[in-house]
Amino acid sequence: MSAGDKAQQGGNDGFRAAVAQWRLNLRTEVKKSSSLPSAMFDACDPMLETRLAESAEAMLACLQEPEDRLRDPGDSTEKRLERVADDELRRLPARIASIEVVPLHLRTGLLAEYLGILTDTACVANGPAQHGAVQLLQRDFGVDADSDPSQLGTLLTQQVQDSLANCPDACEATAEQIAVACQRLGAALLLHAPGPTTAPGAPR
Amino acid sequence: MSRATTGDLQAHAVAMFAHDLVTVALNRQLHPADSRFVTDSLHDAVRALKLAEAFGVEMPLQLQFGDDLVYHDGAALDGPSLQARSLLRSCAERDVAAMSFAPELTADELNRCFDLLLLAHNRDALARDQRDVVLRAFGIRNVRFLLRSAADPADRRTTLDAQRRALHGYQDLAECLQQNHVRAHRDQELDVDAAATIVERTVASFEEPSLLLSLATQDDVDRFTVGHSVRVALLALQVARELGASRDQLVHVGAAALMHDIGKSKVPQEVLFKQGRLTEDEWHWMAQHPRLGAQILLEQHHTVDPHAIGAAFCHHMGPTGKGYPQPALPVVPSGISRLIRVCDVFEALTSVRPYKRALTPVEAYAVMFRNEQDFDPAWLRRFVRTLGLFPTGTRVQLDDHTDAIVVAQTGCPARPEVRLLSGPDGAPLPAGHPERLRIGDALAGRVPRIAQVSTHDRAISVPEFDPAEPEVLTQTAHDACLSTQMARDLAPKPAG
Repeated sequence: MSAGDKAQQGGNDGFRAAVAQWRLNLRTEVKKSSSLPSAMFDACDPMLETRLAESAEAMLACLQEPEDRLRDPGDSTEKRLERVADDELRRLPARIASIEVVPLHLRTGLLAEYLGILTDTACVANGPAQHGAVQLLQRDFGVDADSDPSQLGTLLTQQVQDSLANCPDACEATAEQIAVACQRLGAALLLHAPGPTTAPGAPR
Repeated sequence: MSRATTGDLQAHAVAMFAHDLVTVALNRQLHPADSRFVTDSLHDAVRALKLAEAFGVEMPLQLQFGDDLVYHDGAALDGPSLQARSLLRSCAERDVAAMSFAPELTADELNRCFDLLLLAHNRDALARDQRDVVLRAFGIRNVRFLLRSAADPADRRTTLDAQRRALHGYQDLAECLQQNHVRAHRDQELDVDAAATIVERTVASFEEPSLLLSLATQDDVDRFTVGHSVRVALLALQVARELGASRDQLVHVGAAALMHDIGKSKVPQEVLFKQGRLTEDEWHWMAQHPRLGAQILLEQHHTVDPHAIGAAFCHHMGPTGKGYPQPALPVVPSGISRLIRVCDVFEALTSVRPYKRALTPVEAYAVMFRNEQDFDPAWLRRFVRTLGLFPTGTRVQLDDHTDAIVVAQTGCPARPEVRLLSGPDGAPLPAGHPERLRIGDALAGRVPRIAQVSTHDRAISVPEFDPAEPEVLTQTAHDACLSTQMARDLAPKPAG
């Protein structure tokens, strides 16, 4: 056995002893603070075992890679957990019940969504994706670049969509037709606009 | 200390080692053999092996490779097997039935083993007559390869039970998605047809979705968030099926949900798997993945389904289009995209990540309702009603300390049907006591309620709900929903 192997062996032995001691201590502490009868507590509790296993692993990581912790002391291994108040849970069924029951359709808005994405790709992307989007705009929606003031398209689309959203009597099919029409107009205007459009939030 | 504790720790360490081997195999498909990702996963595997040794697992540690499962000591390792299809195939091609790993194994040596296992030109290197010579030449001393005839045969059941069918279904979905992510990463043509075919097969055999979903929760090999995408697809399929969607619609929904994160294949891995806070530039990269996903799908030579393009682009958008990316023209997400958004967030909240713990489903709903404006309320409601506040398979404890597991939904989200695992206070179930009950129904003069819910690593108390019990969706409303849907589907598509 080499010196390195011996050192590793020593490390493993030390680790085993440390984990065994730690597990014993933890179990004793938990048992002391538990209101369960001893016999019941001693029955295998999967939750407790899982926690023990996790903590043992964390301890191993700490023992095996102390230098990692030292290098980045701010990067805690404690996992984040979103907190939820009892009150939020208590009100949940009532909140669900308060949502209006409306018929749901998987295809609702599909065409307008597709057209909007094609427009975005035609304006923002480059290479094959842009080429493909331009072709599909022409093939499927008859959109080509023969108009101007590009900002009008954006404004019109937004305004009509807002109006429709606030108009409960608008039939869904009409709403979608208007949305598609707006998207077509906007797409045509954007395609005609000189120079590439820069997407908000594009990687720098 | 009970033997069960030691056994659990050992099983956990072995599963972790197997997971790490699967991750190495997946990383080797994506990156050069000397890349940091491969090196990191190799070191993880070596550490897991040492952990197993420290916990007293018999060394050398032997893993057996069956047709569809990885085994240790004859026991199937379901979790690590979920994304092990390509590793298992490589083993089968080389007739490798088992591998034994000595604790002295190093990361370099393990990497050379994967050279033998994965590289096409090494396909015959492990043939019996030359194996020893090859292993010496590769400097492999701490791994033994046992060929099929020389090892205990792996479990080769010919009849498939529901669990096994679910496993196969999951492996198919995960492998297909994995391959497509690799292709996208390498700017190659996607196999979109394969995705649709596999989703179609899944839909056809979707007899027991909760079984597939519960299996899915064991998958934590997370290359390109494949496990996440498969789970999102299963959730979306379950909701769409409950809504009465046709087979064709289900295929659209499943394929779109499966591919919704394809754009992540273009996000640098350092950013995708960073455990700490993202810098501004890194965040910009992440925020582009929806747009990149749509662009990948539009680059394909085959026309890709608009549902999938929409889901890829819009799954981080609220119902009015707020969120990201910010398109050149305002885009309002379609019904499918809204559904997938709900599934996506729910899955993210209820699963473990390197930096966060999992919420229970009921907590996840509370968080989602806290940010209600981010979701279409009608789809969120439909989602909760389909899965229930306590989805099937959830471990619960009743207010008399009876342990139980949710086995079915009843139409009232807070009142599932449960199977009792014990009597009150954890005592054995008394003879003659019903084994199943519906929460909220009186039993022996009292009305049981769920008081605690647990995940694999934590338990939370559930307070008594406010009395406003949601109404059951009436048949009329359901029929109206379906008939409108069918009318729309039968209508001719609008021309350009």
